[in-house]
Amino acid sequence: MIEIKECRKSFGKVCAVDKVSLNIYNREVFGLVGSNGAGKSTLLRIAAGILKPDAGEVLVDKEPVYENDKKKAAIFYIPDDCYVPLNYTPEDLMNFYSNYYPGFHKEKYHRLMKQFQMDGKRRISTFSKGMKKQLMVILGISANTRYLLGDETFDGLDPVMRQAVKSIFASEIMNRDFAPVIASHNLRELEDICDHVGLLHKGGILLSKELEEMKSHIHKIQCVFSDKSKEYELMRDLEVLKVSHQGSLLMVTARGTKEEILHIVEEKRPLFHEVIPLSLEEIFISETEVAGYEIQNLF
Amino acid sequence: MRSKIFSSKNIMTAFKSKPWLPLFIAVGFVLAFPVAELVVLGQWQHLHYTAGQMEVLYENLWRDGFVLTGMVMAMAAAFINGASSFWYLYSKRKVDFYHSLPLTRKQIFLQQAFAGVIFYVVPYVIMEFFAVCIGASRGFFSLGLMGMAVKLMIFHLLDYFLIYFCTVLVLSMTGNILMGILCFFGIMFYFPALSWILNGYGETFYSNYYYLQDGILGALCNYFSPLFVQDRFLEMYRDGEAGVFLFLGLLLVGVVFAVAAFLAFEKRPLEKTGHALVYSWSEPVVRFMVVIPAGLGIGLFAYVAPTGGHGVVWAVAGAVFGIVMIHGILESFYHFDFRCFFCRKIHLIVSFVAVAAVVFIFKTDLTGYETYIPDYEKIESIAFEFYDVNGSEAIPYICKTEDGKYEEKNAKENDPGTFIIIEKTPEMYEILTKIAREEPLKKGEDGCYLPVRFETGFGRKIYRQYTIDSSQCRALMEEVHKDSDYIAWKYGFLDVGENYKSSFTLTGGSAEVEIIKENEEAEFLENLRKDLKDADSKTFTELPCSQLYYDYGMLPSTEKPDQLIAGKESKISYNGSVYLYPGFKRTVAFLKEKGYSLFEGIADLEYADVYYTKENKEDGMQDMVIVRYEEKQQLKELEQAIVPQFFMPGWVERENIQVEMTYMADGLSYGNYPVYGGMGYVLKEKVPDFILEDSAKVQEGLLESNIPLE
Repeated sequence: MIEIKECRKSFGKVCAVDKVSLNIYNREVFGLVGSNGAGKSTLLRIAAGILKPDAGEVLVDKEPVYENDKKKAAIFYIPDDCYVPLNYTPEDLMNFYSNYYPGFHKEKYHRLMKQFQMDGKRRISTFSKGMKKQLMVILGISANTRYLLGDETFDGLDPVMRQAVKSIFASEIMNRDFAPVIASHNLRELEDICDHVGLLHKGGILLSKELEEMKSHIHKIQCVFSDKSKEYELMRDLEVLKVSHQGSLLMVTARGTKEEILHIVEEKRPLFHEVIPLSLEEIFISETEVAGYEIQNLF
Repeated sequence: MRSKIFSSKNIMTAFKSKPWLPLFIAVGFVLAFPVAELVVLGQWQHLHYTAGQMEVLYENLWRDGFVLTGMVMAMAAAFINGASSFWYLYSKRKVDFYHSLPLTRKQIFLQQAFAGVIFYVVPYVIMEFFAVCIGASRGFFSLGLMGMAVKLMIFHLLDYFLIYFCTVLVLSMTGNILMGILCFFGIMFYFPALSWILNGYGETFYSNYYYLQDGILGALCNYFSPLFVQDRFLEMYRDGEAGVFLFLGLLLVGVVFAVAAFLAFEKRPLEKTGHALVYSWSEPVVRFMVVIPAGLGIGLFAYVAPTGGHGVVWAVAGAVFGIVMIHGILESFYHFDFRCFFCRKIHLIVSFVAVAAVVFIFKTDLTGYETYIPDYEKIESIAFEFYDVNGSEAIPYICKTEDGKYEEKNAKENDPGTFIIIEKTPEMYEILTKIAREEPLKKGEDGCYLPVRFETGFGRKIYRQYTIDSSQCRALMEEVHKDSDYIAWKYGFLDVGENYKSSFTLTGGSAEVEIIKENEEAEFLENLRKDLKDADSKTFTELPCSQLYYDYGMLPSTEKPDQLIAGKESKISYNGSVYLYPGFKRTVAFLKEKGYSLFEGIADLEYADVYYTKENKEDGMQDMVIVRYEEKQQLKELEQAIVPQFFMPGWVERENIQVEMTYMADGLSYGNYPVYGGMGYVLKEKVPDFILEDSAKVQEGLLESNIPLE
């Protein structure tokens, strides 16, 4: 398990990560989502043992990861814009990593390279961005580390490859103790793969929950009331995140299980009502709006 | 993981990432050793050296030739190795790549350093081995040479470490290329530059200042720069001082830089990649370290530049300009924004105050530099340079070695320096104390320079250059000539023996060179030996009556590679000149008897141009007023008073009035006295009244030059 405890990291006057605490459990896909500049990459770099937090700590299996080669050996980090030495081929890079990761599985590497139809002898500098990402995922999987930290891992991958990568993750989780952590803006991509989601905003963690639990605890209600006062009562009784009107149709985003919300809504005897589950993207927008992140007066 | 760092696999991985590096180093060492050796051996072949000379030359090739070529290559390899290994620190992408690996920073550091050493050592050893083999194939092989090869390798390896860790230190402390380049040059040249600036202040503000060879500023220049310290160690190595001290010294400097580089790398905040300096504390430190000396340097430059008497105003303007400019440029570099030119105004003010404080310290001699003399008990030796005091005497720094050969070195000190150690006495100390504290001459006052070196405990050397007047000089030289060792060294030519003599010549009263006849030489030298034995110290401060030039040639010399002549034994010549004094009674009588002329005064002047100096109140400089005298009576009085500059050592009391003499011979004007250089000084005790009166008129502006100034 990766435990991030009260982690803080500032770059000059900018606080990139502010007292973030979250746990990343084994055998689950953790999605790290957040607004631009929320601190996702910084948090991943701290978790990978690259940066030292100003305060707090990151524990990997109960031990600090920073300056701990044994714990760093349990993590494979794939940055968004990955560097590879200019004259290296995938084979060279495989040899390079196998030198450092004791559990590196060369057979798995060759198998995956074949599956992804990649040429192991071609210079990586001639690869496209997506191909580099594929290669890094293959190497990350082959390194057989317990944790794979990927920053925008699906960015640049075509839909087929995205699906393939997701399948590999699922397969690895099935077969061994493996936990990928994916930081991304593309919430739709994460929605169908993540077990757990951490939502970052302005360096702080807004929430960190199981995706299903998150989805079951936030809903959108569409209803019509004959009396305006009923609307006010509804707002008072619900934990409202967002409200909007479309004619007489009231649309409310509120926290709570479907049953709890239905119970409250039905008490007010609406003319019409419907409770809709939110997508991860909608949850992200609602939560960050509550935290003050919205585009105001743009149009 | 330790075993992996030092594994062949790791080396191969490193090789794969930069295959050009070992190849570059290998090519460099091919040129530095085997190719250089073949070229040099080829040149020797055509010069017909004897076998013995070839051996000397070949040994010297290992001591002097390869040490330089190898050092240049070792330094280049160290720089390129260090830069290529840690260059990644300037790129966030590369930092993420390398620092996400399961390695601690210590492991990364060791891994890079180890791979670098292998890339350096392997080509070095192979190429050095080739060089030994080439020598052996030509018949040059001995255990001694093998020992030198090993010693050379260790010396170069230490050179390599020094530059390597210096490069890593810079890369670890800076965040971008621009600052990296600036800091690299800074680390190489900062302390020498600081030393030069402070030296400039010393020369400008202190009248007793002597350009520092040793002392704090000398140490700053020579030992606080990785580049200059290498040069010092190289000199020591060439001089055959490659002992434990040299290697320990180099090792110590290398270890200091290695530890500093490691700490800077280990503690480096990686998120500061791209910033100017990655350690926040280093920004003000570097700022002050650069801005204050820059202000001092530019201020000094403006002060000494010819500014028509407004030196102080220009100095202040220069210092202000320097401080503001350099501060602004640094701030702009720090923030990558020229709008930050005037940021941190408090620091700017502190820099102004610091520069003003340093100038104040120098201007008011707050440290007591001018008057400082070590306590008598603490002085281990006192040494002097007599080049100015001794007038036109020229004493060669040559001495006899134990094996009866001669070599160029300072017999009194056993080094090639020109300072002569004189036995210290309380009287001498008292004279020096007076010169320094009680009766110091001001800068620009007429006198002669006397560089002095006091050596105290732990090899500490204190240098001063006093300007002394003739009475101080006389008192001091009387003390100096009580040292029999000094006299033995000065007149050492008397012991060389006639096998090697070439000629003895005199310059006396006729102002023309007279050769001492061969059959008179022995008697002349014998008389001189006896006179030296009998002479008291006052004799050596008389007005000279002649000057003796001696010339010994073809003296056997220890074979020095630089002086080897193909097929011929090594020889050295020994020549110089000393004054002869009236107190050398036997010698003077002998010369008179044999008809050699002695200086007894000037005669037959046709006219004399007297050079008066006058202070220009506008710019503080000295103006020259030249007055020509042609009246017979005046010329007669002048003839009694003038002594040619040639016979004017520092202890002869004179007026600061120079005379250009033109004399008459055979009814024709010959212009200047040829051998005397035509110039003379007026003796203080005989200065004519009309000269004193005219001098006063010149000072008051009542008398102007009456001949055209060239």
